[in-house]
Amino acid sequence: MNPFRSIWNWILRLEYDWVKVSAGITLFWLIGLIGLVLYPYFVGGKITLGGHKTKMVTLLPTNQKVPLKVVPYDAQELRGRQVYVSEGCWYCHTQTIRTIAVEMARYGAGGIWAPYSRAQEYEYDWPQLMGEHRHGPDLARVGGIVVGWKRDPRTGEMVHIYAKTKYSNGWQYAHLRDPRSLVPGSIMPQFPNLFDQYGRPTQRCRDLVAYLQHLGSAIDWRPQTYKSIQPPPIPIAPGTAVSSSPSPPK
Amino acid sequence: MAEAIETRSNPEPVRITHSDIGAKWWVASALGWSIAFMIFGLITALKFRFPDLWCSVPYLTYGRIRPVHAQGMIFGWLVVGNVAALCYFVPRLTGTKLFSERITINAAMLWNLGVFVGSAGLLLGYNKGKEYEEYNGLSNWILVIAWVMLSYVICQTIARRKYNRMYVALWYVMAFLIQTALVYIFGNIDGLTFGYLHFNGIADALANWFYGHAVVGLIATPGGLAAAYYFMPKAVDSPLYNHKLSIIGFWTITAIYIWNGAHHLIYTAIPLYLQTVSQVFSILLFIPVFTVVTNFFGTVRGHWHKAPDSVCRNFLWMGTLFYLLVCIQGPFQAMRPVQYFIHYTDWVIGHAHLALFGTFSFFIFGAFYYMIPRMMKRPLYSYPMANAHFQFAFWGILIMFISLTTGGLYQGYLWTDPTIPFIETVKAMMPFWEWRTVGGALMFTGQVLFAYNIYKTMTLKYVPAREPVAERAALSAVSQ
Repeated sequence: MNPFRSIWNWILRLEYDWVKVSAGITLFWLIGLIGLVLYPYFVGGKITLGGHKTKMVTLLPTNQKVPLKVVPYDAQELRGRQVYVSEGCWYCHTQTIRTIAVEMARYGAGGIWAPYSRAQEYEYDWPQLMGEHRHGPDLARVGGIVVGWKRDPRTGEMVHIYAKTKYSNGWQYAHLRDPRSLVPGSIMPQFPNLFDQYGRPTQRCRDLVAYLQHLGSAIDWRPQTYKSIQPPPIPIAPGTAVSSSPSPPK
Repeated sequence: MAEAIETRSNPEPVRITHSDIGAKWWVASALGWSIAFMIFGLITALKFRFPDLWCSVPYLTYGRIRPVHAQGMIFGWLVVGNVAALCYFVPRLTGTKLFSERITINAAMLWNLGVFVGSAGLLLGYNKGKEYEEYNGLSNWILVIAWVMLSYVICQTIARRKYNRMYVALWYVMAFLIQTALVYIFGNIDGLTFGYLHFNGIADALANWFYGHAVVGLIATPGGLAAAYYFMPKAVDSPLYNHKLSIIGFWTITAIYIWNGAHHLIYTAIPLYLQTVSQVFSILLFIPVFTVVTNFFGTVRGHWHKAPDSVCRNFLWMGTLFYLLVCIQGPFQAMRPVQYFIHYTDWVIGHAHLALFGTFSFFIFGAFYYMIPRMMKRPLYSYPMANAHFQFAFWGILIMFISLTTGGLYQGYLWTDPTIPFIETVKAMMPFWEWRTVGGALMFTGQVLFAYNIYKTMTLKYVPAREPVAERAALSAVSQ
């Protein structure tokens, strides 16, 4: 008998047996789970996910080789990460620079292309926030590099010191408070709830900005002379603004 | 062999009266959630034009209401609507009563509680941070328990069937139940274990998109196709075109769809071979898609004007056309040269809306317009209103799809020039986003008409005095 014919007949007879149909559905799902998630994680992990052997699509003119130093988050940044998750920043901002030349050029600085995102950079990320939509720019390299530790006088905990961040802390605060004052035409909402009644950032806001400054800290790629972008000075009309706004308590 | 199969099947129809009280609960839930979560969607769309809309209320910021809309439309409307349809047709296809109406009602109540807890949690900031699995752990548990209760009822019904041979819609029902359970439990394993079990980094991204694509491919697709396979032949009053074709479609969909998740991560830091594998399987999806579409086209062919129920037929037919469109677009956009341009743009959002609204919601609309009059044993409250709903839904999704697709293509094109500042590409998108809001408003209007129509049909105590000829035919079809 034709073997294909008998296999086909066996498949046709499945429609009398709901248990076999269910088993088949489950089996196909399990095969997919193993191939797509479990094999890359448990077996292929050492070759493909960790280490430096990740094979990349080379649409690039040069194969960038950069030293990686993945820094774990400190406590403040972990809290800031939670703010980033629950406020849904990740719906509009990705954290992935793809292996595409124009994309690396776009997020570069001072004529240097931003390195594309490496697998190892996400090592401490749970949940991962690589993102799926760019209503705003990518944030994978918005932060800087860690140059040391200091004690935060407000909370008393040790926090990272950053250098060569794309934007200064002040710019980030001003931008979260009113994005359109810094970037005309921006569609990012204001976040008045991250600021107190005097316009000072709350602890949640400081956590969030600390997290943003950590992004991309695994690779030191900006030029040594890079200066973080500062917010413009606030124009004060003589005799009006200072006296009319309530002065914050010490 | 074929003769043996024929003799084992039981062609004699079984006459029983179905109470359908469980299906009515799921219908009511689907209607309520769809209106509620479409309002959230409209606010989300408006916030593109007016970014500071209600920004001082932390519960109504963009980042919190967007997941409420996306999760709610999937788990509050699509899944619930599909369950309502299958609670109607599984007893009829098996020739037996639903195993337990009481457990079905309890499952519906529990499911609604889960959706409410998850959505309220999102508004309060309890977000798990991964797309399509944002609901918190408590909500995950409630939804899983409700799903297990429902699956128990449906599987018991199928096991007690009077007809030995199972129609393909029943296969898709089983795929819907099993795959939803497997996919949901695995995808939300971090929520169900409250953070004890989880992946991290790139593996988390793989698991996330393994789940994220399965939400469309293994939850919405079998649910929607089960309904379409039952209601399409019913709507045009003709037998299914080819039964063996549907078997090929079923097993290929089951085997292939699960491999597509990694095509959401093309050009990112995941291993290269996984990107290629997902692209190959994306192309392979043409097999199930063309078998399904061929089957539906063949079923309708020659029976278009004989349809006793034109609204139902229109929705199912348009859903099939959109299914063909979206499933040609899907493998196309999974290819690397296309991903280069359109990934991260609004093209993807247009694609998602075309799949989930244009196809699977249209299937549910068609199913509801067919089954509600037969469940209630009275004609639909208003057929003109149903036709207006079709027009609103059709033009709404078409405007939304075209504006987002062209806008996404344009934005992706602008991104390929690094000298254009990012903010200029955002400003260039504004007219497309405005048109998207117009499309969304039309879809919402249609949905309100739909919900009102179904609500009046289910609650009205009298039969309307005048009904046109075509509807009289539909009424005569309400024999059982």
